[in-house]
Amino acid sequence: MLNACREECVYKPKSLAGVGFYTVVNGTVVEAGVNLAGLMGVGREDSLLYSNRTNIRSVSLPMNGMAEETGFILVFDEGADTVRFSYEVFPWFLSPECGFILNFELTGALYTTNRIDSVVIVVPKITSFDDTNIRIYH
Amino acid sequence: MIRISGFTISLLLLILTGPAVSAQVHDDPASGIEDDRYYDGLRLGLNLSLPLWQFVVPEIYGAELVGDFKVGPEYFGVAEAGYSVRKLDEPSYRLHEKGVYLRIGGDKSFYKYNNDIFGVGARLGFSLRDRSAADIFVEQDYWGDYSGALDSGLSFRQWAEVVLVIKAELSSNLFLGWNLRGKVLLFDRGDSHMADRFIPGFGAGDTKSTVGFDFYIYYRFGF
Repeated sequence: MLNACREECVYKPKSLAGVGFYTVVNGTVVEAGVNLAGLMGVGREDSLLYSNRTNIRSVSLPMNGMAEETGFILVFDEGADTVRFSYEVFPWFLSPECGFILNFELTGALYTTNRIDSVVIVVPKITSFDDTNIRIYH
Repeated sequence: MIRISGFTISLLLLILTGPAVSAQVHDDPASGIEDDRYYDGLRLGLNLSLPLWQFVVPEIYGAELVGDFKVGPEYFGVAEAGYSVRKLDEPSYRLHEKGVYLRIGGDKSFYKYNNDIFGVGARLGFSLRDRSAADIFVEQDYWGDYSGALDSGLSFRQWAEVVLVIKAELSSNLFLGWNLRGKVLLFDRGDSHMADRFIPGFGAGDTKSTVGFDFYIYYRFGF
C-alpha cells in the first residue's frame, strides 16, 4: 500500500571526488588553476571527463564502484600525468525512494610527476557533499 | 498524516470508551476502596498501534509488550520491550532491517480516586539493529553500473523520552492506554558509513528528535 503512495526519487546525488589544484608561493599554499587539454579515466581513454579547460581550479572525479582502484589521466599543456586512487566502496542507503548511492573512503594515491608535484588526500570520505577530497600540487 | 490517522483512531476509542470510564465508581480511600496510586500489582500490556501501523506501512512490522508496577505512592516503574522489522523489496535493492529494543523508566500519576491514570513519565531507550542488503544496483554513468550487497551490520542506539500517559480502566483490571512520546537520540555516533534510517523503538533516525503515539491494552494482576 505504501509502495503505491511512495513518492518518486526526485534527485539522486552522486558521490564524486572533489579535486582542487594548488601551488606553493613563498611558503604559502594558494589555489592555482591549470590548463587541462583533457582528463579521462584509465581504460576509458575514449571518453573525456574534461577537455580544453583553461585555468580550471577544480574537477570532480567519479570513482569506479566495481573496482578498488581507479586511475585518471590528466593531460596538461606541458605534459600528462596519471593518478591512481585506491579506496573502499560503501553503499549508502539514501531513502526508500532513491535506494542506494555509493560512497568511498580513499586509502591512497599513486601518481606520476611530469606536471604534478604531489597529491594529498585531505578528506578521505567521498560523499555526495561537495568536499575537496584531494589536493593536487603543481 | 499517518500519525494523525493513528491519533484519530485513538481519539475515537477514547470517546467511545469515555462513558464507560466515567461511569465507574471512583475509588475512595476513606471508605477503603482501592486507589490505584497505592495498588500493588503488575500491569502487563500489548501495543495495539503496531499491528494497525502495518496496514499503513506494510513493510514495517513488530510487536511490543509493556509492564508497569508500583514503586511508590503515585509512582510506577515501567519497562517496554519489543522487536521491529523492516523489509524493502525494490527493483534496485532489497533491504532487511530487524532489531530489538527496550525502554525503561517511570511514570508519575496525577489522577486521584480512580483506577485511571493521567500522568507523565520518562524513559531511556536502547535498541540493537541488524541490517543487510542484497541486489543493490546503482547507475554509474562513466564506469558502468554497480551491483553488490551490504553485509550484515549491527547498530546500537540510545535515546531519551518524555511521555504523556493515559490509562483508563475499561472493566475490572482491564485498561486501555495512550502514550504521546517525545524522543531525542543520545550520544551522536558522528560520521558513519551506515546511516540510521530505521531505529527499532525510536522510529526514523534521520532526525535527532521525533514524536510518537501509541495505544495499548493492559491487564492488571494483583499480588
